[in-house]
Amino acid sequence: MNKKAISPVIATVLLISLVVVLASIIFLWARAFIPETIQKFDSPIADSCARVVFEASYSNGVITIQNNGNIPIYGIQVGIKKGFSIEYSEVTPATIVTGGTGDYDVSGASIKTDDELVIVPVLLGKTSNGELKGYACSDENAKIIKVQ
Amino acid sequence: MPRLSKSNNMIQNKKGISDVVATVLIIMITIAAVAVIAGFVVPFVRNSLQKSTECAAYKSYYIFDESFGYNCYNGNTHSISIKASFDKSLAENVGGIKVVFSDKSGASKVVEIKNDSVSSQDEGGISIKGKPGENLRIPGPGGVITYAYSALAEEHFLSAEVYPVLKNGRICADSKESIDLMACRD
Repeated sequence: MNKKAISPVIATVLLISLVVVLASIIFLWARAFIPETIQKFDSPIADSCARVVFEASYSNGVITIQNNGNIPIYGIQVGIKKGFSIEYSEVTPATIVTGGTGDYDVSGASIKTDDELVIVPVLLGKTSNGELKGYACSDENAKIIKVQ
Repeated sequence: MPRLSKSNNMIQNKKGISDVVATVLIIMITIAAVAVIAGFVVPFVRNSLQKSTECAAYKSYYIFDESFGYNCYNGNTHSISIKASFDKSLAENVGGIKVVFSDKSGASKVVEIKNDSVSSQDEGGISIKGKPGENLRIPGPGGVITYAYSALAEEHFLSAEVYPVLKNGRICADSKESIDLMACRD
């Protein structure tokens, strides 16, 4: 009859601790289902991709990009159409400012005459953590050039 | 005054552990419990959470690409163009892809494609379209590969699904993309 239980303060602290731990576990689990968003100019980076305007040309293992829009181009992805496949090569990023021209060395890729090159612009955006990250735009923003 | 029996006297005079020792014991038990939670429970929960969500990032990682116009069938040859996302960090964990062909009755056939696995143009075999002698490979980041699957004589598939298989063997079947196959135009 005179048995004592834990005090109301301890019981409350225990309950709050349990809720905090459970909420943290659920938050960590649910966070993985939310895709990482990359932003540029405070809007989704895909919006900036739609505003990229550039010209591309290829000569002797070098792709020259002329940035005619007002979005800086951080780099490019170069896809080579081979038969019924497209394979992309690694290209070292080099920013081309608005109105500027830049060269990308693709001599390492086996590009031959009559190959078709798919050039996809890469923009630099910011993740929700504040980290800067390159984002390859979609094929709709790509330029296709034929190697002469 | 009544005399207490010997056993009653022992109970009356029993002493518990001192407050200091009790406090030290409680602190030690707490430290041990924290160590166990930090050492086993936290990594276990983290690992379980990671395993349960690792496929979430692969939603639409592979899609059917229409640029070659080859998601179609011609006789028993079923052609599909599969495009991978540009995300290199995700590509590192992909070990292969599974393609599920289905016919109108709901019967299906699963074909697994891995890097360097042997291609075949025989019935039931799959190869890279236009490069029949080459070993199979999965599309790299951003890449597109068109495959040709030679169905058995009695098979006639009308749809296809694709999903990634991770290097740890996990099959991300919930991340599948599907397409209806048409008759090829050529």
